[in-house]
Amino acid sequence: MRLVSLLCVGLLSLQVSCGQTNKEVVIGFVEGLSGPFANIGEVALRHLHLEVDAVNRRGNLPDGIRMKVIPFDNKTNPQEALLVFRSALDAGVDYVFQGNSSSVAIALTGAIAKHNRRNPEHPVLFMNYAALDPALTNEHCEKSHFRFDADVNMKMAALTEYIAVRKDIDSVYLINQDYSYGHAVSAAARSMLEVKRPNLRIVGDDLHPIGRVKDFSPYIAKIKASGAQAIVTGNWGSDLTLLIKSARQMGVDVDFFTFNVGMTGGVTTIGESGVERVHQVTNWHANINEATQENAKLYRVKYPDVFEDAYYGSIRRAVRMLEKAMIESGTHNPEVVGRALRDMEFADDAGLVSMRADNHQLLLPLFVSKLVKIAGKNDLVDIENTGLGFETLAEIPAEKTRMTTTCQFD
Amino acid sequence: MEFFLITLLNSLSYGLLLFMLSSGLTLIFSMMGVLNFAHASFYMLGAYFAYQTGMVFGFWPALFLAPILVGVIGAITERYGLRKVHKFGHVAELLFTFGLAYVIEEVVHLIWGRAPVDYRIPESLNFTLFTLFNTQYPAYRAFMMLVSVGMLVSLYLVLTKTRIGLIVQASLTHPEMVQALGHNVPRVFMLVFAGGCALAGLAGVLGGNLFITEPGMAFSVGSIVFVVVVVGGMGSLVGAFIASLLIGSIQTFSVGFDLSFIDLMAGLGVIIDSNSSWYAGLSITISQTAPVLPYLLMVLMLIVRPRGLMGTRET
Amino acid sequence: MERALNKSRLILWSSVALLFVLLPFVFPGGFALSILSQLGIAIIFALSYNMLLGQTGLLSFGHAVYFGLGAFVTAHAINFVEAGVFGLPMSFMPLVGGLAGLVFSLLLGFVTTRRPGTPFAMISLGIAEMVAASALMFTTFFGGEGGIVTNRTAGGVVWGISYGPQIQVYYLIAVWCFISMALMFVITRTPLGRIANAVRDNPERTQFVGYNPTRVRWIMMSLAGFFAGIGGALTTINYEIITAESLGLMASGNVVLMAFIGGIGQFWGPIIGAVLVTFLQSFLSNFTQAWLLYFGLLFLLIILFSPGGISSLITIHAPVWRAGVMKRLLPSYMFALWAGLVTLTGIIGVIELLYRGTLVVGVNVAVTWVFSGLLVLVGAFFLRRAIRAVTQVWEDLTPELARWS
Repeated sequence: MRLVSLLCVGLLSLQVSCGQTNKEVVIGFVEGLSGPFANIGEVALRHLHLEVDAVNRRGNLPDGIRMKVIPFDNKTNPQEALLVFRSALDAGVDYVFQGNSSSVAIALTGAIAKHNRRNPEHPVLFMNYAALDPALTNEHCEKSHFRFDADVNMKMAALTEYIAVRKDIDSVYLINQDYSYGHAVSAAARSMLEVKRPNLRIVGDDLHPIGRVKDFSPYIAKIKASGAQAIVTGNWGSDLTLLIKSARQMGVDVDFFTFNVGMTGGVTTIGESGVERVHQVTNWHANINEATQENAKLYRVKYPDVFEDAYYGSIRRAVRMLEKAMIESGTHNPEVVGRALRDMEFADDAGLVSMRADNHQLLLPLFVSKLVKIAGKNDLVDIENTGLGFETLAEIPAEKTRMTTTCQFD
Repeated sequence: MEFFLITLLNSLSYGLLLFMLSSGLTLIFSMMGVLNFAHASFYMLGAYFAYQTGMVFGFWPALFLAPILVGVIGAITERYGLRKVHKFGHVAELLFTFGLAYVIEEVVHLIWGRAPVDYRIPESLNFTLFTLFNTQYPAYRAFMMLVSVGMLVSLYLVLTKTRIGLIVQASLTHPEMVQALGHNVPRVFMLVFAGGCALAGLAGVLGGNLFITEPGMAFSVGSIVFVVVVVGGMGSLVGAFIASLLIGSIQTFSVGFDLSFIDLMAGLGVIIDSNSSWYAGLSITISQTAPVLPYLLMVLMLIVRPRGLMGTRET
Repeated sequence: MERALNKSRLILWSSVALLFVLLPFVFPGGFALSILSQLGIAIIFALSYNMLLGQTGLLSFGHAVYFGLGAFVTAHAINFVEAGVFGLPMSFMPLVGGLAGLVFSLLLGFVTTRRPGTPFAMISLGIAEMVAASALMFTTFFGGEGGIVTNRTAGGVVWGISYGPQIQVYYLIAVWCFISMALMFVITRTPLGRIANAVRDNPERTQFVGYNPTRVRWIMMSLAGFFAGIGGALTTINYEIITAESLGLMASGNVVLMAFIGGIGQFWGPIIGAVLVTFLQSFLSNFTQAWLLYFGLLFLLIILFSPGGISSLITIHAPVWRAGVMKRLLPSYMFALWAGLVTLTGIIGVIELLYRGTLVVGVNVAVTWVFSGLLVLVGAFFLRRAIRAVTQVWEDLTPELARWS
């Protein structure tokens, strides 16, 4: 099935018609599907298929049309992404879904906006479900781009709201990857903590090259020497796992405040060393309420053989809001649908969310949760069969994370 | 003081791990003139094999099984790959191992997937050895140092006390002479290559669970090992040993220095405006650049002393 | 010394130029045009790489550094033009990238070319690592994760060319690709190019003749950096965005693959490699996730069985063709082709089954496994015989060919 659709793409790009009817709205999933980050791309693709299948089963779209997903491999490289966007256009794409990598997202927003200006007869919308660079809804904002996850600043705002009430913490250490995302996390943490907890001491602010540190023990020794009680970090992937494992091994007992623990394999590799210590701020996790638990179980039922669990609440939200916008506007024309999305309110499994009309950033409640052993806790769902799961500590209402924006749609 | 002692211990264990990797590479290079680009891939294979065999037999048998398996794969690589390419020259050999590194990484994806695997430190070694001031020192790190030193001693004994060791040792300094004496039998080549790979595999067994076992692990150590070999001097085991410890301590100790060029200038009475467009570049601290410092050291070494610390040969 | 320009060459080069002009008419459509533009850039890059590897014998694992730095400098230059700091028509912007590549390769080449052979390879790798790492740290110049965004229409309309439509960009790339190709070819025929070959083959003897091998390497490396920079500048114009990925190790490794798969022994070898690799990357990745693996395997096969790359496979047949005995080779070739295809199908089956494992729907997974396995075994069995047959025919032909040459 997937092979056939891929074959169609290949043939279409060679200008051969594949008997495509107008009964389908094409969702181009432009994501890294090969190379080191391919597993994250595949996880997102499974989430997307789950939701799109649900939309097609409900069959409420105008004119009885159906959604069709075509995956495109952008190799996690901005230029490759622009190249496959061309082939996606040749395949008749209406909506582009992408999220893993802000550099690809920035390249795609620009390309899609340019395409829309030059080809108004075939507009395309960009549904961003995970690229967190604030620039996408500020200086690089475009009318055709919508973000369904909270950006770095919003997440940090939520996290610092929580740290502000944790009176037992009076010193934190910032450690981040040395690239624009890490810089943004560090800067946001500094400025927000200064306002929300003026007496809190920031005892260290380290940047380390991304993916090149093998042994984090010297950093841990330094953190230990600084006497910090908590670590705030935007690290992801092995940089996060190694940091947490190293702290545990050296018996440095601090709280971790992070963004990306729940990602595939994260909890498995961190394991016991993170229990009761690792906190994360997310827009979704399994143990928010009964509805989210149901959705997490749904994912396991749909994909019994895969290793990971449901993670991307933002993909679910994006597809459902897209469905709602199509039904409300009675068409699948991306331009009209885009207008319906602009200030839409939507009741999600995790709460009420709303799209900001001024920069196309979704305002959504954020959750601070902690990694715990689920044994003995009332009905918590675990992750990757580790016996560990996240327990909600605080819900930060959407309005608390509203940021000022420099976005100007032309 | 606490920071200094702990960091000293950490730099020692990291440096010894680096030596385990670079000794195999140096051996292969001195003997065969081949820079094994896939060396770090064999390190990765060691970790994955230890994970897989450890699930069946437990950690202790895996500690021996995994390096042997890696050695076997190394032998096969030499017999059916490198030996064929040998007649096309060193560039072809180097490129062969370069291609091999690609293929090994993809095969690892194929078999174990792209997410990290849960290869853990065994329970019997997962305790605190001693507490220094307030910091705990994990037993596993001490064990790792023990194995590295043990390996160092046995490597020394093999090289000095056995016949094959003498041949290998002779080719460190006089490769042409050894060749002329007719010792250059392909079997020795294969053995050395397999042994070098097994050493990398052993490093993988020990490093895989201390750090993280994932497909990207080969890439992240690959180039640093090359730096060790260049700085130490191509083909010198002693040089590789010194360079490993040196680079290990540079990487760990520099983390502690939060000095930047701006601080330096401020000390001299020059204040650089934080709005200046150079500010971002100049405010980078030594600790920030820690993982890149070895490469800088390598470039400096090449300018000052092109043959490396202990190297005797130019190429 | 033979003349760089003779009648047959003139015909060849004009047909190349004609091909460049006609290609967009043969393959219209947005995606095809993008691929063609990318091909032009890849050809420049691969050829500039071969100035190092093929002509001077310098195996570099960091050539993308000069490509990427050229691209970044061009991006800033375009933005300066847009801001009105200085004026330069977009058509000449590749020169800016080329000069940037030249300056950086002069600087870094001074250090790296001090030692040839394996140390050079390692040093180039170390420098590539260092540049790639600092590209993420220095966000002012490299633009952080989002990279540097430019506007290729910044130069305004000159001679009716705005560089808005992709077709105009394609022709810009085609023109520069042609100029670079011609220049790089001419360099191979100059005394410098010849001495570079001598340095590659026997540095000691070159030194006795009175040339400084280190300096020759340095000059060749700087020139290679210049052409790589032109390629980088064209990338910036083509995509209007440049990110740190383009000077990373992946990009450097890619150009090694291109040059070697195509063949470093012939001037036109890397062109074949660039075309093949670009096509495979774009199309193969549409069909399978395992394309990197196929790629690595192809590379290993070429090193093991035809280290001269695809171009040498073609050149060894030239005498056979001249002798008119091609048809004696054909039966064994057809046999080998058939056996090879059977084996390949089996191998693809196994790899895809491993990759897709859970994706394949239906109960007959076991059947496909057995079937693919059988194909591999049967194919390998016949392939061995086929290879023996091919070798046999070649051995029979050798004395005849010797008579002809």
